[in-house]
Amino acid sequence: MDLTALLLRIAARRPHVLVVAVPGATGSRLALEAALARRGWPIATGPADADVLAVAGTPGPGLAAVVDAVWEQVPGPRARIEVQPPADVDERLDAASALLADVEHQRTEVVGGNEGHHGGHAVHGGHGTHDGPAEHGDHAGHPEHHDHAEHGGEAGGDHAGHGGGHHHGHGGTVAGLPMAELGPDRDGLTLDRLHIPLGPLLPDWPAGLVVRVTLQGDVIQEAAAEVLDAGHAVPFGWPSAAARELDGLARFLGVAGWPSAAGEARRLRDAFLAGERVSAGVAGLLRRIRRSRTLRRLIRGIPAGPADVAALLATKLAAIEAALPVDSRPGASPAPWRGGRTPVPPEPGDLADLLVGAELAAARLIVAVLDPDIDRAAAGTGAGHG
Amino acid sequence: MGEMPVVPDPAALPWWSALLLPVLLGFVTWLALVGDAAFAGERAALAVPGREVARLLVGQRRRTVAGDVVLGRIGAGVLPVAALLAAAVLPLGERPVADLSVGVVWFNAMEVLAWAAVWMVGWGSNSALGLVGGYRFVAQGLAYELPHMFAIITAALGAESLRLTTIVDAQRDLWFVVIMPVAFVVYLMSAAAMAFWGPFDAPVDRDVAGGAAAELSGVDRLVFAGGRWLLLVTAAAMAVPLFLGGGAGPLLPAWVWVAVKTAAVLALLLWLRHRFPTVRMDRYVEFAWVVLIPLTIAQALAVALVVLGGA
Repeated sequence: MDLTALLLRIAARRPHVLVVAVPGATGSRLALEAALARRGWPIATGPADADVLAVAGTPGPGLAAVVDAVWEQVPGPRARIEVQPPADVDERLDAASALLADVEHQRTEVVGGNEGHHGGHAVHGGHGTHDGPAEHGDHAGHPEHHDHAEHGGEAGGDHAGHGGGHHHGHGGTVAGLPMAELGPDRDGLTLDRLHIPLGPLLPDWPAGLVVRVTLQGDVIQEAAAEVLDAGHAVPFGWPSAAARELDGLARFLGVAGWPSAAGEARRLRDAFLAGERVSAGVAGLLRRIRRSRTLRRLIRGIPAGPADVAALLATKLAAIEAALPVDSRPGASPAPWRGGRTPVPPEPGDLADLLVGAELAAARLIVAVLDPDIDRAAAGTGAGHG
Repeated sequence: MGEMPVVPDPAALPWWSALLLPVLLGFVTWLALVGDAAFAGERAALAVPGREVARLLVGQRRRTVAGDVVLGRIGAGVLPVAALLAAAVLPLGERPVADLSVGVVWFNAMEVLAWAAVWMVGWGSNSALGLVGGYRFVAQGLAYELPHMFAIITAALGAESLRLTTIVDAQRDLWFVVIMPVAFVVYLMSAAAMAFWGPFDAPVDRDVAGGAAAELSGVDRLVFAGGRWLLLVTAAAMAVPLFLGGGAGPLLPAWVWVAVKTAAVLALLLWLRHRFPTVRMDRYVEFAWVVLIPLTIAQALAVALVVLGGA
């Protein structure tokens, strides 16, 4: 009895999937997320939590470099898939699950990784499963995933920010990483500054967006935003405004730490796109959100441009109601939160300005509620930020 | 020494029960995991914990550049150990594994170890998001711990003892939840907070990609996540002797009542997570210090007056 093989088989029934959303390829992402929900496979929070790295769409050169760097950080047993036509999703996920359960493959991969051989086996688009050493020969597989510092600020996604910990501001390096330098903070103290990129691979984060921030503690001192591969993406045409708004709402609720409501929003989005009647469900979800005094207390007074996050959320909810077919209002819904104009999704540069002075958690909420339209920025006006 | 009240012997379970305690706690934790998966609407809820454990057992461990591996691994290991040690004073039925005369203080001391543990895991990974998660838990501790201590000390005050079996005995006529409802509610909130669970999961939340646990994989993640679940179960079970009359109840034996009441408290905690969004400490700390601390002090005062009046 091979215990490892048995464990691999059991584990492959419910792998965690790290979804990489490519700007413009929103259709692939939606298909992927719907398939994961159907199968009950959790969405991973980061590379350490992932078994499958699933790229939804064809990444441009910038994002592709990030994906390769992140792949190096995914611990074995692991599989990598790329989903292009949304119809192929289930085939790809089955292939990934089969690869995860393949003890021969995973054993060579794990051992290979630890001995410094190539680490990058992959299940790509139409090619099915590769058994031999993979095509990522240029990424030497470093033992125990030591390598992500080399991809440092440029490519390491959310985990690149190993800014040398909390030592003194002498400059110099530790293990090839620059030390944190000192700078004055908002209370007049002199504290360490860390430079980390937010995105493009944070959970519930707009596809392709990278905000480079300077952190003191968890307060953002400086921020600069860009869209990876600006100009590379073809804008995604949403079949309906309601689905687009529900998608944004699901991401906002995820960032707000309300997984059950976020899951409900995602389920309604998928059902709506599948042509089912969802008005009653949407009305129920909106009621639930509006009634939550806890949520209101948590997001009130976080400035996001002219309005605060709570007001922007209220507008978002109203937009969903407006976009849905008329019978969505059973009358009983309590008075909506007041305030706020219809928000225009900001340009990445303006977005960055709004984040300065915010704590990390507040910054995530601001980005989620503004929900910048990366597809449009990437295709048209975003080139200047690239 | 002579004036110390003599404890009716044998108050504690035999020594070998210490070996069974981890098994029992693990079993209850497994059931809680299944319950949580069912709550979340997973179809194969029964199989979810098994698949997750298998996944983490075969998972490769990873290290980050210039991370403090020893610190991080000690931190993760401390979580389950602290939960087990805290559970040692839990009356399982009528008697605990160790009937310490300072049981309430022992429980509190073990639970506070989690502060250090989570921070060590976050710091040890040398990752900005891990560090943010670790510090979030320290801030959370500052917010929940004082109301929590007033809540559990109110139960001890009601029984005039820090020994959990004595606290249970003192509730023979009336469960403490009746005379100290505020302390009970505050205890439930802090039980979720000490296991960074439910609305208090900011230290490991999605918005920082898993926070303190962001860089953990394989066995390291298993120990960390398992320790967190054990802590949640222990904290839920401790509500039973403190406020819910321990094993008291009609017909059934004491251990069944303890199990039933523990399951009820656990179900309540699992429900909390689905009911509320994550509470950020920059907003909660004000509520904790301005509202909860005065409330729990007033509760303790009221109970003290009742105790004095009754004596």
